[in-house]
Amino acid sequence: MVSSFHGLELGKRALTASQAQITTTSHNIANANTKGYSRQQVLVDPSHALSIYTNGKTSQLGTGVLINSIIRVRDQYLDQQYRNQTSGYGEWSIKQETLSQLESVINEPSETGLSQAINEFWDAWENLANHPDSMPARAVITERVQALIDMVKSMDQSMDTITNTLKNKQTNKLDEANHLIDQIAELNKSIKIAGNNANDLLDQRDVLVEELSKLVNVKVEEKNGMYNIKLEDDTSLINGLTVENHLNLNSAMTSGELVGLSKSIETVNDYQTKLTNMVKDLIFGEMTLKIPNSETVITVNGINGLSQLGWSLVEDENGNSLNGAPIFKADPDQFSLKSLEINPDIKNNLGLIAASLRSEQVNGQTKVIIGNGELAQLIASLRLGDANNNNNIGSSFQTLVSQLGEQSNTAMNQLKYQEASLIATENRRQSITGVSLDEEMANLIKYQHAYNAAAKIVTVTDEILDTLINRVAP
Amino acid sequence: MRITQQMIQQNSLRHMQQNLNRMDSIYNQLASSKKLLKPSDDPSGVSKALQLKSTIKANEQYKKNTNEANLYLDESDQTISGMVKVMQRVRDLALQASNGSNEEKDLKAIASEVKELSEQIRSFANTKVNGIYLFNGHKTNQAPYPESDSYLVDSFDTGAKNYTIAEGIVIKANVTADELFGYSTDESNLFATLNKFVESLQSSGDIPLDEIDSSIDRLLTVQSEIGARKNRVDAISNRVEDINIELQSMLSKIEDIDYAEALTKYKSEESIYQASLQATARVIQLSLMNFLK
Repeated sequence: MVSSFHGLELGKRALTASQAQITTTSHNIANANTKGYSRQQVLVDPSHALSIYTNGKTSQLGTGVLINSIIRVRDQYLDQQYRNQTSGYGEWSIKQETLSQLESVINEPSETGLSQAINEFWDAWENLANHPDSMPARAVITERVQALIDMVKSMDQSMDTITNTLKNKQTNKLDEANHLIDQIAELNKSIKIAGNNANDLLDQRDVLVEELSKLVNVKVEEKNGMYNIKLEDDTSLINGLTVENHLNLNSAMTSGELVGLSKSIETVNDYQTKLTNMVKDLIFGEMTLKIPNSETVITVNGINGLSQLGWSLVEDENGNSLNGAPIFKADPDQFSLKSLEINPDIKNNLGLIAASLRSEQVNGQTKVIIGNGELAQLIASLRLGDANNNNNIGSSFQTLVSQLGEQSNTAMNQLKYQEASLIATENRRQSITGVSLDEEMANLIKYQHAYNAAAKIVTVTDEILDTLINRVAP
Repeated sequence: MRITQQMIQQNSLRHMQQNLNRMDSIYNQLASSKKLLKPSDDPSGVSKALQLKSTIKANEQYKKNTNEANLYLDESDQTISGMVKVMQRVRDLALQASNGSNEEKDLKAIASEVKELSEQIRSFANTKVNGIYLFNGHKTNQAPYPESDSYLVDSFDTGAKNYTIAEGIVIKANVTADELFGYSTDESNLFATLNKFVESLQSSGDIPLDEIDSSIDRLLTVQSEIGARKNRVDAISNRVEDINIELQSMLSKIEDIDYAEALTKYKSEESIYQASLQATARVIQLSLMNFLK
């Protein structure tokens, strides 16, 4: 036979369960916009039934409800997928950003870019070839040379700035990653202490692991409720409660923002080297040239070498014409754009720019033949490269630009693809994990009704007991 | 699929952002009238455009060079015409001197006129254009015949004044004293001939009519050469110009936008963006809350 107070106990259990459900619903609503929060559910089971004797056989009499557990609704598989994709996304977003910065440094196509400066440089030589005795034509050359130098120097400088920013970012992100590793290990501990279903702590830990994954791709294994985190090459970062390794620049990282940063630094460096070599080739690179009106083929070291072959308009103290001066001032062995300058001598004395390949002996003195513009013409012909079609700065720069464009384009497409797949995963995850306010509101009303009904059970039981005690007894 | 408010909100935001992005990129094309704003817009197109621009720029310079060459050729042509006229007068005088019915004073008068004419030719030979001696090769700062007897030694320069008038095409724009008057050792050196003529007048010798004719022939030959060279320069420069027009239109096809197409695209992107704004405004307001009391 059932106890008279059975109904009261049952009502109390129902009230408790409804209350827990209402509280959890409120918790969900309160955290609807919390990052990484997964909605929680109260799982309830019917409580252990009583066996009662009914007409020759036993039956089960319900005893109400018991709370089984409060869980978070989450799909581990999607978490893993999200972590992998966020690494790729992080890497490509850094790469893409860097390449797009490089594109603005290169500043092409434009009317004011390096390509134009190079064209105008050649035009100036062509002009000198037309007027080999002209000082204004020489002044134009110094202007064009200066413009060319200014342009490549400013590009070089901008690339330095990009590299420095990337390196700073790298240091910061590395600190951030190591800090995250410490925090995750801390959370492992807290979760162990809190025991099963420490839902909010679990959410927090997942958020941190995702942040870490964005920086560097890691392998996450769950063991006894704890996350063991390893790098791709199985270097253990976190094992249970202990942090076994921190990250440094030499850690085996294959994806993530940190990889994006180190690869971007390489890319910038690569373009900087290309730019430097391009200019170095122009100034010092080996060139094979055919002397006009003859079959003579000569090999010189760049424009600087070539410009010294001819005769300038300046004479030494003995009245002999001097050879032309080099156009650029730079060190061929330790060439750097930072120290590149226009030769100050030609700036101070325009006549030192040679245009002529001919000289003659007059009264025992060497004198330039000033109407000869063959050297200037020879230099101007380098516009199309040397006799072997090598050393063409214009086309080298075009190659550089199109290569950069190609790379940047690929990065943009990659980024779009990574973003799209990340969003798809995030949507699927949100679909499972996210709080739907409509759903919570509906639940709230459902649980409110359940609570009201449970309260009614208590009232009814109370009335039954009243009847039993006050009416049945004398 | 279970949909949550957050998903709707995030997705709408993202879609609006994407639409705005596309609108912005077409707007930028319209505002700049260029399809290619950075290398990644079309890497091979940008490379092609840079190459075309360089070629166009070079051709413009070649055009300037052509003008310079033409100036040289025209000036030479005119000066040589002057010389030919003078020489024709010399020939007339030679014919007059050789008909045998001249008195002593007539011959004297002829001799002094020929001397005068010889000086005139020398001054033609020493013509300066823009401060540059036209017929002295590379020694543009020196006269080819500074003195009246300079022709006795070859004091002139024979350097070629070359101009690049098209890619890989170099043309010689000047003529030099040797071509016009012959070397000092030549039998028919123009100045020597004139001198001989004067001498023969003074000594009643043979009038060097043949040499005078060949001197004139030499000048006429050079003049017709210049004419031929000018034709060649014109032909090449016309071709360069034609090529440049073609290159310009190729460049324009690569980097300029088609306004009609871009405007239509812009209009359509604008409508898409507006639609996404409207849809978002409606969908983010919807909630069960609006209907619960």
